[in-house]
Amino acid sequence: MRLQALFLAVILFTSPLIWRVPNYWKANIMAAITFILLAWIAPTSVLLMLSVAFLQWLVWKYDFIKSGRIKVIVTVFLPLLPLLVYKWKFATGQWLIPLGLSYYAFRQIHVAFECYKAEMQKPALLSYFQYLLFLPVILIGPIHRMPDFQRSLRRMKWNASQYSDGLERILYGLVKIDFLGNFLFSTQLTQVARGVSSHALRLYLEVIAFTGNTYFQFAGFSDLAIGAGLVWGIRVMENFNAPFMATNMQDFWRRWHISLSSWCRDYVFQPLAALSRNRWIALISAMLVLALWHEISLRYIVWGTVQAVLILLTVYSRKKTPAVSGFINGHPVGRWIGRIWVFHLFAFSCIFIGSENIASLGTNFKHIFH
Amino acid sequence: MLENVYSQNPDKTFLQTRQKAFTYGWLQQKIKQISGLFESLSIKSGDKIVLAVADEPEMSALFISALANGITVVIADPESKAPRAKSTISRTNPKYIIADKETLEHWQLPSSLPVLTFQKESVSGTGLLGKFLKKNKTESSSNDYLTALEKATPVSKFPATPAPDLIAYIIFTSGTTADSKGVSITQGNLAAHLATLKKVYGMNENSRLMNLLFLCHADGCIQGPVLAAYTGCTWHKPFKFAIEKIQEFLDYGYANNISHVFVVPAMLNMVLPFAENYEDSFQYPEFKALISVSAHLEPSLWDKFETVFKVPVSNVFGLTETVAGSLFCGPLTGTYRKYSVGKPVDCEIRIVNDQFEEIATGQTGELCLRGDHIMKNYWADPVLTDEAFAHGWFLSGDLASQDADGFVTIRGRKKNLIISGGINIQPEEVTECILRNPDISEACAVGMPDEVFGERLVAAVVLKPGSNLTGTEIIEECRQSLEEKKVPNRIFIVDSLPKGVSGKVQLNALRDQLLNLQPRNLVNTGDFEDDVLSIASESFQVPVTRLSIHDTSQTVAGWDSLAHLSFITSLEDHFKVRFNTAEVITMNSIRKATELIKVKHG
Repeated sequence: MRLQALFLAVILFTSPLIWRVPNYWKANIMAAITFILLAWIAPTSVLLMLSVAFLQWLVWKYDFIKSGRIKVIVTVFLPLLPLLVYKWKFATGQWLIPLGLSYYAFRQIHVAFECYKAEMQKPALLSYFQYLLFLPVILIGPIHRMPDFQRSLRRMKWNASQYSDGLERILYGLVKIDFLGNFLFSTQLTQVARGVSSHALRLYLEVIAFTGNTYFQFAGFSDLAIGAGLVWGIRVMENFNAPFMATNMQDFWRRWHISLSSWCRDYVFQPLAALSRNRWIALISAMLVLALWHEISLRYIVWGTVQAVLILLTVYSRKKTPAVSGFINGHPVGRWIGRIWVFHLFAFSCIFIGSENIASLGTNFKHIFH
Repeated sequence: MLENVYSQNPDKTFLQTRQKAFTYGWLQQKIKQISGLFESLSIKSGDKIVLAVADEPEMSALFISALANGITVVIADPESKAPRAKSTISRTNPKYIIADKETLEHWQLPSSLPVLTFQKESVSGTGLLGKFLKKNKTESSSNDYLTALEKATPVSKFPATPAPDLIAYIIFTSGTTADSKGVSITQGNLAAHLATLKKVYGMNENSRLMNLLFLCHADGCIQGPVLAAYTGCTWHKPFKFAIEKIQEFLDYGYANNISHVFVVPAMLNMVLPFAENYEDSFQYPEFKALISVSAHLEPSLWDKFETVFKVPVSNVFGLTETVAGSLFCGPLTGTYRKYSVGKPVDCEIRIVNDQFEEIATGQTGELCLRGDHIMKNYWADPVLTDEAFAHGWFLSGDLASQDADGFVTIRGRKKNLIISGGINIQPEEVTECILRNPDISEACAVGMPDEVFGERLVAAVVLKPGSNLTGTEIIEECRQSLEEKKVPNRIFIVDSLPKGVSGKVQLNALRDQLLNLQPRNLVNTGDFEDDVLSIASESFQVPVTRLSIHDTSQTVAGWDSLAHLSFITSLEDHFKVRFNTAEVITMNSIRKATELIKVKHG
């Protein structure tokens, strides 16, 4: 939070400068500010980010790899390698993950894929750096897309209401993180839980507290990023769309951490579906990547598999029991039942990641159901 | 006419390019400095200068400075070929020629002609390295424009308003080398029309107009820098319009609160396929008008564009001879009726039959115009001038009808003129060029209907017996002596041309004959590369022997944004595939096209 506060302060203080300079210079100045700040607080990270980007750019620019497939493999592997190494070393407690690595590595992979698909032109080095060095999203995402970023840059114009929307979003973010997340769910609800004598109810409340806090922290930080983006004049994609209003798990994953889930859809699910012609394999793989992005560990593998199974069951039930599915997704009462069901499904699936190991996982479930 | 320039706040932007803002202060200083240069070269009010400078800031400053001093500008296309340039110069006898270095090298004018060469300060290489290695201009010959300008003492006061009957500029319209017409517009014509344009478009000092059309055409120059200077507003010219810039074009207007966007129908046609997610491009409070100029706006295009972008498209009818417009269908209240050219503003019209008798409402006749903005004459050509006027009315050569409410609709053309993508082409000029080949016995250039460009220039050719000349070879020859936009898109080798009793080629019959000729049937050999090369050869009009899989839009002469679209649609038709937006934008090499088709064909 301290870093995020520093980033926010820098963004707010430099925003008059951004709005003062001609459009052509805005992106360069934003990138320069980000670079200076990162070079100061996380030099390894910025070095890693720019080196990988530079190597990818060399591959695109000089075209020495003729095969499109090998080229995409190389340009995806370049950011993937440090990501995997650092995540692995982090999981074994040896290294710290460079600031923002999980996010910028995925952005770099996104660009590599889009270039391969020819959905975007191979970026000029400066444009690529401008995209990667965008301070509002460095710390905690979203994994915004380069064409959207460039379009937002092109459409940038001073708009007082957009600026105040940005400030408002920052305020919402702070309220979500500090009041709703930290105070209400993390502190107060946990205290209430501790006072409950029933093991099952205590654990249930703890699960609710954990899930609520996770959502408000994450959504709050996304609000900060989106608000800061608006203050600098760039519209960043929404990352959460009222996920607990979803009536089934498939819908939930379209609303929760959208930038990551859509990334997994575009760069894991779709290529694998195209390759294997089997959407189940593609779905399980996508959910596993989504899970392992958080942490390389057994508990996340289990969690990811559970999410995939829940989505599969949603799809399966829609086919097998269309009446029930229609009621849950269509009827006003059914929709609320669906929402409560989705919330609890997700909350209980989070026990997998809240548990240190399989033994404690078993104990946790035992406490709830006995 | 230029009072708004002289009195403008020097900090206000006159011209906004992609990276740089040129202020009114810059323009004011330029006018004084260029006026000083004119003085030092003894170029006086009433003298003529030829301008062929591609650099937009410098060209607009030169043009406005000449206007301010009552000097007649002969506007020449920097791309025009040597014979045309020489003819223009010899017919106007200019006091000076100011043109780009490359253009002058190409024109190879006699050394006796007074010339100033424009050459931008050179930067070796591009990108950062190039900028570090920036070379100072070391060689500055005595006829270097920028050096002469630097040496000239700026005048202390802005020039007095020139007499209204002085000729402000001459533009030579398309035609054969001998009969191209020099449209002479006086200061009075121009001032009258600028006042009309300002009124019709509802412009003021806060307007921001974006006009990406060529400065060597009236619609680019007059409705760009000159209209901006007259109004005291800002002209935006961030880049040249090209197919890969369409999304940037739409975003630029939005981001910069452009109030008036000037386009030709071909641009609207090219923008439409890229509309997805850009539908709100004209939805901002500052936006006032999207103005289609230069060519007929097809009703279907008009409908589609207005539906998709939810913005009214204003349609202007005008000719080089009328400065820019005459009849306006919007944005002025009361003039808008879709599919028409609206109503005349600040001028009178008559629709007449061959006996010059006014015809009844709803009937079709020739549209005649009278007003302060109508040209003075065709330069040094009293015969042509006489033919163009009757009883004080200018004969537009366009067939039109007027409804009971006064709205005018264009029905066709009386004169033989092709308007392709907003560019006027006199077919005789093209025919004359083709006939120079000794293997050709007869030729006729005509405009064929085209969805994107309105009309597309093609030519029918009769070869002499025994000749094996191909269409591509003929096109290659045309490219040597005609500007790129006047090179036929396609040559049809036919046995004979349909003629009437007088022996004149019957254009309608010829068009029908050519429409019935099926496009050359490309044999699908299964080898995509050969077919893509054949289509590229046809689309870019380059012999297939000169093309290879390694060619890109940078290495093929005819691969411009217009030809690009034709390349794409031909590939789609031939291979029965559909390219998405990104593929269209990124397909900039033969290899990429081939690979994409291979992928699509699995």
